[in-house]
Amino acid sequence: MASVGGKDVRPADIRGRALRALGKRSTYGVDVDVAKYLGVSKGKSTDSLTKLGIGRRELFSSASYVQADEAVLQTFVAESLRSLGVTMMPLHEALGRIGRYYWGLIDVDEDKYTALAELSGQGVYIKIPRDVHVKAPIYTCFVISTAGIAQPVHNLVVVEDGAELNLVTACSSSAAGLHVGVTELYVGAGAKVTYTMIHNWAEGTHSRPRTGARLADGSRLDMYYVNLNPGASLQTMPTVEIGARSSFYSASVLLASGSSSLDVGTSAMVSGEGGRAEIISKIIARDTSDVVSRTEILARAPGTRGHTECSGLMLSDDASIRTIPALESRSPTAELSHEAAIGRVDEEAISYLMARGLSEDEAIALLVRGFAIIELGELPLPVEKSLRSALRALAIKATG
Amino acid sequence: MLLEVHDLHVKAGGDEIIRGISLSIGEHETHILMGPNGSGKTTLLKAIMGLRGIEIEDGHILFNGEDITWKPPHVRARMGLAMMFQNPPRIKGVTLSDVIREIERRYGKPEDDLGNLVEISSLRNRSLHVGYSGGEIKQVEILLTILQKPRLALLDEPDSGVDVENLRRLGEAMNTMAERASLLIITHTGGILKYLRKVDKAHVIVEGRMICSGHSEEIIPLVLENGFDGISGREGCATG
Repeated sequence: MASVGGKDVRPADIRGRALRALGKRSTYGVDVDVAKYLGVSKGKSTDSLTKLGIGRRELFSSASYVQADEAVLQTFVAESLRSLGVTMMPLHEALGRIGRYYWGLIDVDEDKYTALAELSGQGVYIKIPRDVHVKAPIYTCFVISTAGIAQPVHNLVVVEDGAELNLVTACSSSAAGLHVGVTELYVGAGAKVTYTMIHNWAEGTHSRPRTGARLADGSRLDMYYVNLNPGASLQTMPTVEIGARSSFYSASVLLASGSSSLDVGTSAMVSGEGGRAEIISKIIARDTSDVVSRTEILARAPGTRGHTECSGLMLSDDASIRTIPALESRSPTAELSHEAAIGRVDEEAISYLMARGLSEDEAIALLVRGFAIIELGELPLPVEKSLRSALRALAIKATG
Repeated sequence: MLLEVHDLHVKAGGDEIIRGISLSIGEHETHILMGPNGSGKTTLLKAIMGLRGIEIEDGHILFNGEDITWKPPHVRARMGLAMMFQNPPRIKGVTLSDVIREIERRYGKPEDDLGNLVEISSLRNRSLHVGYSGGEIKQVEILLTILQKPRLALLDEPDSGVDVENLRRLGEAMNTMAERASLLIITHTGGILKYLRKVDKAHVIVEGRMICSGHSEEIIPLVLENGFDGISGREGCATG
């Protein structure tokens, strides 16, 4: 349990709610017996991060936080950012200054996983002060290096009005465990944030990201999520609340392999007039994997727009993908649309590329790579490179 | 002979489309293939290229003396066969640059500057054939076919839906290709013919049978004057 100066600063009612929710199953996804993952470990190895293209150069360019198992290996903020008031510190050290944000977007007792994150006290707090533009990416990295442990973390990110942040979260494991990542992201009025998540879990790992974001008026959030290996199971459903004239873009590409079970999605509530949401989801399923993909856009204000696209690519007769797109409007002037398609690799395209000299396997690999391409908005070059590299690795893994 | 097709019978979609066709093409020869809609011209080209969805029921295809009847398309392509598709698939996410890179990796860089033959620079980073105009599709198809440095190029209706300027450029590209390769060109309207410097032979397919095959200067005027009906057995037109 985290403490400051030996004294627990978490409000007792929050802690009590967490304790009472420890047995509460999540609405979606397979249930994980968290009691099996309560070992304590101070991890040291971050080798699995290098597979995601995250090395020293990235970690020491602006700001970074690295946690292996339960050990915080690094909290670095470049002096140039520190002098502007950019803050990055373990969450438990920031508890005294984040009261109104703490569990403001996600219920601490939403399920056993959020409860676990509260009780563990791990995680990072990031603040970008008003009107400060941090172009260089800030990295947060979470690694599981010991088998059988849980890594529950709670991250809180505050980007104040008019500020800019390019956040990259890299999560990986070299051993099977349970990762719970709660992230609360506040995007101030007129602020601009890109949030890139690249995950690569070891076989047998369960992960339960819990993300909540709120976009104040006139702000923008672009969210990218690439998952090369979901491990044994993954369940996540980020919820984003979008203010007036704000825009939210989410693009995710996930590879489901082995016997993994995925229940993934994104929910956007456009609550401010003229708000925009676009959710692009791509799933590649191979082996005996099982995927449920949910996307929903709720229009709650006039002049809002929303679009979801969910594509599934089946690479195996034994895999399954189910897409559940939902649109809900409470305004006659809202415009909402969705597209969904699931299919195999196009035979005609394979044949065409073979006529150009590619073998069948080479043609399929190229087509899968093409399927996994997502439109990238304005991103710092290192982030764009990392994403493209992760997407290439995902396509190779999908057909390898 | 570079290509020899012997008594080929082909099914597509469960129907017999090619009903016993034979055809020979020598090195550096240009052949024209004509015939009404649905006569089997495209199916014949697909069968020679070995594309999916085509079932060979009987007969043989030899390329450079080797039986390729059952070889997959990429093996045929690497032996020197290439095809310009009339209706190529639209491939989202795979850019024209991606495909050029894959072809150049296998066949090497082009020996000539192709920039004056085809103008594709604005398409390089776009998904292959997605949202291209009819003329752009033809330009890209002829470029990709040339990049394969084929010994025999199968060109499926290069002149359909193309304006005069594009037709002229395509004709030039085909003439360049013909200096090093044999060509088998399907034309429905004959629109491309006046741009080709050299045509050796012409063939007419009707209902899956080669009803007419011979010297191009004799066959083509016959077709253009008489249409496809009633030319079988006419002077200069031997039945296939």
